Amino acid sequence: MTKDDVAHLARLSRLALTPTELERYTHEVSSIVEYVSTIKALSGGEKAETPAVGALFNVARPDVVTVPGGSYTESLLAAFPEREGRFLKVKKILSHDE
Amino acid sequence: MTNKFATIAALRSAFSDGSYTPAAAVADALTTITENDPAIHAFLHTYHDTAIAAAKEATAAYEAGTADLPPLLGVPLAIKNNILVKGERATAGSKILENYTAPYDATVVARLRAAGAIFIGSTNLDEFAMGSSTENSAYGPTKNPLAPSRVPGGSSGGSAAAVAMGAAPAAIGTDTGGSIRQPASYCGLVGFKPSYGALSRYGLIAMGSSLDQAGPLTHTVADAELLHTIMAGKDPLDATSYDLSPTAYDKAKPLTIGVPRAFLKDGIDDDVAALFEKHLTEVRALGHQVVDVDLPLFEQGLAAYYIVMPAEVSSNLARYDGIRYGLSVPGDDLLAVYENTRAAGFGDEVKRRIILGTHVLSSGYYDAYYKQAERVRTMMRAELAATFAGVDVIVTPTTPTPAFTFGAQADPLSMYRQDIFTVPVNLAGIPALSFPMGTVQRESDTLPVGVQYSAPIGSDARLLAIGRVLYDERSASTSWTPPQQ
Repeated sequence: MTKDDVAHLARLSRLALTPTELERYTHEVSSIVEYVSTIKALSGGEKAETPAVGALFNVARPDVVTVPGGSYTESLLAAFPEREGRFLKVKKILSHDE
Repeated sequence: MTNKFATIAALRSAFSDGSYTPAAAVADALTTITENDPAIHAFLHTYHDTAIAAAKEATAAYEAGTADLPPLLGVPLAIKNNILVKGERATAGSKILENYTAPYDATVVARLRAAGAIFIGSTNLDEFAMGSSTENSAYGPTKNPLAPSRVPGGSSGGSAAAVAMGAAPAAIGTDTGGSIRQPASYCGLVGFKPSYGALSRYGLIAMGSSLDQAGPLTHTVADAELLHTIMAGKDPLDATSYDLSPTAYDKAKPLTIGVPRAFLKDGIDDDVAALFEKHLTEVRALGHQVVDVDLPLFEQGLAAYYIVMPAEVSSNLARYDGIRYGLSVPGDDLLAVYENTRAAGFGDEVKRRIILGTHVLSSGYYDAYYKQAERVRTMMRAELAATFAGVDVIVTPTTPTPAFTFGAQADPLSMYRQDIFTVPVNLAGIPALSFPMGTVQRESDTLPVGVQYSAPIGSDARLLAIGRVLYDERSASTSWTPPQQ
């Protein structure tokens, strides 16, 4: 892996890295990737396509409201970094300049 | 040092006969924390006022002699800080959640609360449970109470240290790749990782959603069983949870115990290997049969784990973006807010795993890494199912070494190898129990080492019953006298 690869992955992951971090992660992530690559050599997995996570599939529940309206509103609003009344304040994402 | 707690069972019986009270127990727990925690740093927060108030009520209930009191009434417990306790800070050991207050109880917390438990505080952990030493906590490392120059293990290191230093008879941790069992091994405790789905994950701060389970750290298997039974069972708020069918263990029948010999050849400390052989000799002397088993895919577990887990980490941690809760660092535009927040809020190991996870999931690499790792995982389950047709349990040391000193595993890969025996268990979703098998000597430190028993998926009750026979009835120390009031 090159520094450019890691810089690209960092952009995809929304992480601003310092030059020192970029240098270090390039080295470290490369050696981890090299280590985990041993599993590429294992064959026989063609039969094992279905990922088997947990014992259950397609669990559903009735689509009904189970808590009184507003039970969590104030605690969720209180967690907002920027708030105006009952609104979450965020940066503008549309601009007229372009 | 003030009186250390023994078992939940001993505490409960002292409460019932009036020789000790929940009020005294909580006061003693808080004193132990005040006196010892500045040096150990097991706790991130203590729930001083609510714990004292709850203890007062519990004491009154025992004094009133009410019938059918709940099983944990007045028992102080410590909770890992990636498990939500309503109204308390839930930081997950990260700066990004430094000021986050839990709006609700995790299901496991709600069930323990309903059973009468008193939460005395939240315990330290590696950031987002990523690590094997608690050195990755944004709030500083926890020290091993048995040997303070050494780590308590991780990521549930604070929970293990809280019990080992005597602040609580038991603590709750989470285990994604060994994070309950490895600290239990390093701190001389019992640690249990339930079958995937046995417990609800609702209210656990997610790391690897197909791997995470909560579980107990205790002094005896019986206590672990008690806590597990209270926490376990289907929860409508977690679609992967279900009620396990009961499984029993007939003590009269000797067990067949499988040892993956080839897996134990390399990288194990000589003293740990010798202790493990001694343990096997003792088990044989009890009449059980010890046989070699071949688990070639188990040996690939660590490599598959370091693909599956970071993939899930990179997805799960995408939610920390500085918009709706947690740390928010300003920037010129929305993208800069995301990037600056995540740069400032996440530590080194978390960033490393997010980058790694993004890599194994990215176009062009997904098939070779993530998909292949999931295939290996499926094949591993088949290999295990075939092996469990011939043996009751599989046994290995819990960790390849005893507790190491701070900074000793600075290279990420050498730190990851600490979990070589524990991660295959999470990939396969099976239950595993660690209990102490003896001690090894390092300079002036006498260090405990654990042995890990794993069993077929869903057989949690049977595994715990086996653990009671192999550990509690032989070596667990349960004697305890309540301190003089």
